[in-house]
Amino acid sequence: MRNDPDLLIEARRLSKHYSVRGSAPVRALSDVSLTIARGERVGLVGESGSGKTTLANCLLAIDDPTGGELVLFGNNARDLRRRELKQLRRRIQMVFQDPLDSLNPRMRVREIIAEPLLLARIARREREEQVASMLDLLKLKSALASRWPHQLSGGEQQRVGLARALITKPEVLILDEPTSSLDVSVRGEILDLILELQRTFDLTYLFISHDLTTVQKMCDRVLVMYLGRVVESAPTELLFRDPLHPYSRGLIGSALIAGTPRLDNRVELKGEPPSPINVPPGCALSPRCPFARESCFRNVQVLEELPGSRAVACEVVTEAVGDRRAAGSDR
Amino acid sequence: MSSAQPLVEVRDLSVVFPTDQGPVRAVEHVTCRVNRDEIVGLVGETGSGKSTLGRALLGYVRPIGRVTGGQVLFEGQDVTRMSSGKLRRWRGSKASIIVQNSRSALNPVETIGSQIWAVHKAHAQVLQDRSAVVEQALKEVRIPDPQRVARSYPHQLSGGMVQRVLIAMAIVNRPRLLIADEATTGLDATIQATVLDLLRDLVTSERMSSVVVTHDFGVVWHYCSRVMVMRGGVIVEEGPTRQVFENPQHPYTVQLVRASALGSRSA
Amino acid sequence: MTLTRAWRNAPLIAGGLIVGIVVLTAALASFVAPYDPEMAVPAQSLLPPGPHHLLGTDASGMDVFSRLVFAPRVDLLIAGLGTLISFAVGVPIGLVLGYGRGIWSDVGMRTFDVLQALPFFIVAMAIVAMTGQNTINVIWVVALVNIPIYVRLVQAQVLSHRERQYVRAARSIGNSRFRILWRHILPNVVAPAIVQTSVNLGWAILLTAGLSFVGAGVRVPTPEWGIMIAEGAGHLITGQWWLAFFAGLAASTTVFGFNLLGNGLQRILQR
Repeated sequence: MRNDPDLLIEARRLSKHYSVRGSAPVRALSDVSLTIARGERVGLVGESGSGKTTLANCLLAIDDPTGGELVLFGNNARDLRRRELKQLRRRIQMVFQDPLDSLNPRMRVREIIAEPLLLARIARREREEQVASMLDLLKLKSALASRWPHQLSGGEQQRVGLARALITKPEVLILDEPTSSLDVSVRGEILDLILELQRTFDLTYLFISHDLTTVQKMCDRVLVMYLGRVVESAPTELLFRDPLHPYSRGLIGSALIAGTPRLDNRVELKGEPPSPINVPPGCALSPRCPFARESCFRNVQVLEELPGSRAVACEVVTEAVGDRRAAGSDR
Repeated sequence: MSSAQPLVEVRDLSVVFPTDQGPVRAVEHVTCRVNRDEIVGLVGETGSGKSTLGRALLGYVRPIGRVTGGQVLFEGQDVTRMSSGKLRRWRGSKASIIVQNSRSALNPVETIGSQIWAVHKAHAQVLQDRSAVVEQALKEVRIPDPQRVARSYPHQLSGGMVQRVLIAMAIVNRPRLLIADEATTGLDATIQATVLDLLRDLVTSERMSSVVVTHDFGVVWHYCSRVMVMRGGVIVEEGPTRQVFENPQHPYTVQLVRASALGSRSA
Repeated sequence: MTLTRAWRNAPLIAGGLIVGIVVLTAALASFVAPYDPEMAVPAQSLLPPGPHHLLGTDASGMDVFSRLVFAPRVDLLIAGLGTLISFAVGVPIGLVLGYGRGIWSDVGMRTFDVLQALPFFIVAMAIVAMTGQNTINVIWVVALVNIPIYVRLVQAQVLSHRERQYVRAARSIGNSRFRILWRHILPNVVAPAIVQTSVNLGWAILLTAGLSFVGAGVRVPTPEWGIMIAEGAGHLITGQWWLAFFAGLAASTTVFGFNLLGNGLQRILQR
């Protein structure tokens, strides 16, 4: 087992299936493996039903996976006792999608931000100081400290969420669609703020989003998910310039970004994503994929590594790349 | 090339809505136009008045809102002053709208086919063969297996399919103007582009005009030849899309443009 | 939750006024009542309202007015304590049932659903009949009958709040389950319970009076509205309306006042 101190989070074949009375189980996550190393800014994209939020919950150890293993800071989560797990969890924090909903409506801003310290039994004087410095760092006026969440604007609410997440100086931050609920004019400043905080705190983060422009700005490496599986992983630039997996080509190809023409090698996927209750057998994308061949409907696809720090879960693509290289090496 | 006479001309329009906190001026002294054969974007954030303006083009202001000034001239006729009977005949045949929360726009206890037929029947001068009309309409929006879909009920269809059905209903009578009010917001990304492509193809091939109301500048850039930027009930800037995007004049437009092109691939 | 909003809140003011007067009356009864409410003077029985007995006398010669102003003490005591107990017991149960998952929560929820379906008045009478007719038992009965209401109310609230992001956030920063319930969920779900309390107090008074009316509540000669109405009911035919009328008016106005107050509180607490 690797004991690389810089490998902060490792997910090994995580699965999360929910059983629902009277119908088939919901396969929110199937066989997801990923690593997050120190200093990385990893992006996670996918549409609804892809399992992004479930994955976030599992990485945060809020939910227990039904299969697979989670290794946090070198420790297997299963082997840990509750108290130890709690200690480790403090090193990973989360920022939520709906800023207003993520703040307790009956707590004042300063109480919300101070709570993690309270739970860590930090003395009051020290708590107050840290809250004040957090407010400053996040460019929140100190007058806001005594207000209630609903009295703040969306941007301010999300800053409070960030303050709460960062006050215990975690090493890893998971951001679950942090700007999707915000007005377009506010998004930019929050994203810039997150980048700044990443530098200040030397953070490692996992940025979950369905918005490709945001992910492009915020992340060095991106994972693409579809129906509970990771279908492609690549450095950001490479992924957006030249996606390999048919789903990535469909997703990135459908992105409508002002000022940029649509992707050349985009793919149009037939039909619509099925619900996680009805995951198609074999490759989950096969019913919609224009390149699907007979074996695709039978074989569950696994991530295969490719040169350039890339990985793709598609046998058709892997073969094609292999053929190209073989053809190239003949010359 | 579009003829000089605009399809819709809005002159100094003002619309007010009563609320608990007092009257809200959703649209204030707006003057603009929609030409023939064009897809124009109406972009702004929540509360900018874009939906109100878009709907006002169809006369959807009363009974909740009130037109406090100005006119909306559609092919010369003032829509804001039409009687409700005339408006009803006119909507669905001369102009129609596709909205965001698609499922609630369909009657849950009627089949798709009967709802499409109802729209056709309400406005057609000459009634054609029912199943032919329905099948044709569904084929136009590229719905596979149109006969099965025609027999289905709204809850049996996915979000993207429902949206296509709404488009089918909106164009079955070949209106002159089609308003798409956040028609793809909330749909998954891969579906969104497909639906918009479909919309554009139909509008262009049938020589309709369309107003795309959205908060997403990306949508505007890829589908609209002209754009109007709205904020606080006022149009702050308008012009050809490329031009407005590359050279925004109004500070708000600058902000919007910057926010929408956060990390352009070419950079 | 500002003062200005309170001013515009008619139900709050009206309800508050009524309830305030009733409570004040109960507190100051000894000073207000001209006669001893339990002093029977047979010679002066069934006198109509007049200068010596403002609201007349009843069949035993006890002054109606004095009995009327002392009655709230009993009713408020019983209703107040009973409601307090049902709140103190029902809310925590509701919290636990709402937050827990798994079979025992389900069983618990269904149990209280069933309990709430029982006809509370009949059950109350039955329990008093079994355990004996005294004030303490009536208090317990009132408490018992109202517990399911609080359980279901709070549990429904907890179910909805449990999925909110602030609860997920609370877990992610390391809150124990207990602390989440106590510090995060409870403050957010208690408001409807408080509104319910005001309404419940009104109903508890009705229950007490009702039990006394059928002879299953407090005993004669305690001054209590239900008893007064019971005694007076028989005399209505013979034209002595004042025995039952004023007690009935007082009881219904009081309950009305609590309902109004509950209404007013709801408006304030619903941000």
